[in-house]
Amino acid sequence: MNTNKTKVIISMSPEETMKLGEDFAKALKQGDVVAFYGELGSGKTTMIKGICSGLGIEGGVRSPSFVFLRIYKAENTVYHFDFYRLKKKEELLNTGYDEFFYNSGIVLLEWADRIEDLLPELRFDVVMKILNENEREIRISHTGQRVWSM
Amino acid sequence: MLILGIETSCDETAAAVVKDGKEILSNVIYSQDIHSEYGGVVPELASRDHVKNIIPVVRKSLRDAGVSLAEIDAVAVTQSPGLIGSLLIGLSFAKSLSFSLDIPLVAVNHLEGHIYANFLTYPELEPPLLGLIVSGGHTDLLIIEERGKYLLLGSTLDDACGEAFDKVANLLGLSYPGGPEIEKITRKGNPNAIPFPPGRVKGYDFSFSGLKTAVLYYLRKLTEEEKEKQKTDIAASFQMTAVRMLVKKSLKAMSELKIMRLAVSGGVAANKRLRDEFSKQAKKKGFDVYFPDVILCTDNAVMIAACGYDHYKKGDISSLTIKAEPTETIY
Repeated sequence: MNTNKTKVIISMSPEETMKLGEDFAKALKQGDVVAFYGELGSGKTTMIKGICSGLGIEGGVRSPSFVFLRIYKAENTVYHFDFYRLKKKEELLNTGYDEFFYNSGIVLLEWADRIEDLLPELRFDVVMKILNENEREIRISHTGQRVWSM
Repeated sequence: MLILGIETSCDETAAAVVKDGKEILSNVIYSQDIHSEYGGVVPELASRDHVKNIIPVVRKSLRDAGVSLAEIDAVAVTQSPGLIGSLLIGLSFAKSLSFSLDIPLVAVNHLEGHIYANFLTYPELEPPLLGLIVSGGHTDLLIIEERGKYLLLGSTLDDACGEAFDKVANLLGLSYPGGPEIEKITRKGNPNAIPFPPGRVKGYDFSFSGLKTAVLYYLRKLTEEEKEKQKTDIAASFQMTAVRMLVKKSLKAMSELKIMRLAVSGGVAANKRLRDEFSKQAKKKGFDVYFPDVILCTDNAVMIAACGYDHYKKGDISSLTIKAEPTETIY
């Protein structure tokens, strides 16, 4: 049990990262936004696959790097964004995607640092670091007063 | 019959005029030149800025074809899948043309468009065929049972093939888009220099994320100097591994399903190494492989117009109330 503070986990494999995502999904509610940070290969999409599985989405979760957004439907609608190809945040404003950040679904954002000042103020931050070939440090926190556990 | 095709599903703003579903009268894909040609301001970031691009692009497609708007018989447009904001611009524009000119509107799926790129290049080619669509956003292996009837066999479980090319290009410090850049530098590289592990998944699915990470780990062990020295070999080895993954699954499907012909399309199908390797391996097994003209591999509106023509012939006309569908597939 871990409440209302930063949780730091070391994952030793993609499978563990996925399992961590499944566990973290329990902390999520409608309207939540989760921002992911971390270099290529750090496991962002893998963890999101786990979260989606924890939210009852069966398959079909893939990297949206080219399409920017994939939408999955289960009990909650999940908006899976990826800003890898975004060069300027104005591009996001042109598409009106930021409107999705404030609705009743669950929003998961990869490469959140590319749109920093457009991010909703209240959100989870997940920072993923490559320690070595197998190990990843995953740091989860909430920007507000939210009490959460996983 | 003249069809105006419009494509804005992702990065490219494109328009084309195609006669009777096969004769390409024009094929315009937005470039900075078009903006300057029409005296517009050249914005720093014009791709994906479809609102600004669409009118100059459509105008140029008509002018290149030597036809006027009044001569267009129908307008075909990409309705799915893609970025919702981008799709909407093309779709709204096409609807306006359809309404104001009183001509039919034909909605087309972008993936089906990619399949039609091969029908354009080989007018005699008819299903059944095995299909492989490889691009930045898709890696789909499918059966083309007949025109308009497709069955998905497998697709990527993580990154699309073109996406892996782009991300590896990024890791190597190459510019965007990564595919052509990798292809360019690999001409001097040794494709067998580094044994990157191919992504192994069951059935007809693909996985490219592990290959990308393998390149990342490899690079992390190198000094900057070594990186620079080995760059072409790393790129060539990555490219060969990715291509072999595609070839292996496709040929496996052909053998198991006894489909003797394969039609590859999508942006990655422009890759010369991919074409060579596919042709070489297929020949060994007595299979035939088809690739569209390179110009029809990347996103374009010709394939949308050609596909729209078949829909039109079948009476598959869209109402002006249809919506853009970001995720709809053809399977």
